[in-house]
Amino acid sequence: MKQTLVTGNEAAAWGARLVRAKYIPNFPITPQTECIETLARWSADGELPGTYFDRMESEHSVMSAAVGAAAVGSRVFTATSSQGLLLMHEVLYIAAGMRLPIVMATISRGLAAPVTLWSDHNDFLDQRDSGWLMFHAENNQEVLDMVLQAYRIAEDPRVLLPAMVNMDGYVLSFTDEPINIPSPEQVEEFLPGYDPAHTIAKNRPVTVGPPVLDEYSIFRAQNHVASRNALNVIEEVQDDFEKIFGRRYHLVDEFMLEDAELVLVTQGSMSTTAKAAILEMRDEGIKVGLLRLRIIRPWPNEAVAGALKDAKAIAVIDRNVAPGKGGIMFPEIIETLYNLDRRPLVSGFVVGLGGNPQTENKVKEITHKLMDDLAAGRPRMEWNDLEEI
Amino acid sequence: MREEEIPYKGIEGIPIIREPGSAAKVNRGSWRLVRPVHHSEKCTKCKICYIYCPDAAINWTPDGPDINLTSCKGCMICAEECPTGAMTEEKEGA
Repeated sequence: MKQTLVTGNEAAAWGARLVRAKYIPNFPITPQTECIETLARWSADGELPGTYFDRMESEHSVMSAAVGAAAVGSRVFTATSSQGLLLMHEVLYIAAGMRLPIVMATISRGLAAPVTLWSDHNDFLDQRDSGWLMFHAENNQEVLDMVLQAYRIAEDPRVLLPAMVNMDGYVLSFTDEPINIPSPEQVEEFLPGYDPAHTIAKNRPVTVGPPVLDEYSIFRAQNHVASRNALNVIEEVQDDFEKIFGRRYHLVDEFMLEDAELVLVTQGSMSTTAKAAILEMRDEGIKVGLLRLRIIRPWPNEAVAGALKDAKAIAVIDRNVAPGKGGIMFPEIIETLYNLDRRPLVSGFVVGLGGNPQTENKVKEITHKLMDDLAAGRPRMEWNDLEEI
Repeated sequence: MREEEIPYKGIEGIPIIREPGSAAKVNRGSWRLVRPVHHSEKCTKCKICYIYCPDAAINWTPDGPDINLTSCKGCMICAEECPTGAMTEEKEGA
């Protein structure tokens, strides 16, 4: 298949184009801007027939407009980053609670203050409890594939929840990679038109998201069950996806785990660097592997536990921090393993905040520290970026 | 209820109201703390209270305003705007 060089931003824009999104409300913010610029250019050139490209005055308005359009049954796409995602925060819960399958590309950037334009995952992971499905891509091909899959999963009647597709700012958003861009016919076969049964329609006047009394807990439980249902749907759609596009994804990405005694747990683009470092460490005889978290919500509990249960020691590498606690995924991994018969040792490393580069050498350093922890029988929580200050 | 026992209700489990006009069936004024009282002897039938009421709780009749107390929240904008003082405030339950 022919490959095209595109940035992560362009890959997300291609996703919106190929799924024939009817409504794209948007507000520019670094490093998402190029995604919106691409869609704006296509829209101006008449290449997005049937799509209303709507420039708004803030991200809060963008998500509010997205909710409105989705509530009348439109397929909606948007994208944002960092402070913009935080400004949307209030409305994210409304989109999930109303069960509207909006898909949004989030291009991760650290949060102010102090201001950074560079990537870490705090903006994305701060939306962890919003009720959205949360997917995190490793490379530009996966960005496009995840957008296509996100619509299919989000619009499934067993799910009906909005979905975020995250990529790392700069490292993916502004880096050209060769990817396969499928034909519109292929995408139409994978993702037919969207015809919801629960939204406002001409002959179906309904009130969406009304106030409730004792039923509140029932609806929150439905949001939870719908999210858990998505685990099955994610696995189910892979057969169709592979048949049409020739690629397949799993709930978690396992790399050299079969005989691994040491396992690094990563997210996003730093996983590619870590995999390269692992190949070199394997040559030195170190039995190390990697588990990449690609589905954050719903949490793939069994897949994560299954992949990690035979490890002797695990390093959870968090490109984020919850001040006063530590890395955000560190306790999630520990919780997932807590009820196993034999628990591996788990150390936590906070790395790469505000775009601090995650080099192969740093990955090797973490692996050696994990070996020390295993020998000493004592896990650690470490801020990796601070060593060089 | 154990997590795995929670039934998935499909679109029946989505918070939407399918029947229009359901708000008319409940008393929307039950949490009012004060109520407007109309004094027809001071009223010039200028309709300002009728126009300003943000909740459409005032119906207009040939005799002047008719306050619908199942809808009125007691905001007292009608009294604030009345140029002749024909609307006064009274405490609920007093």
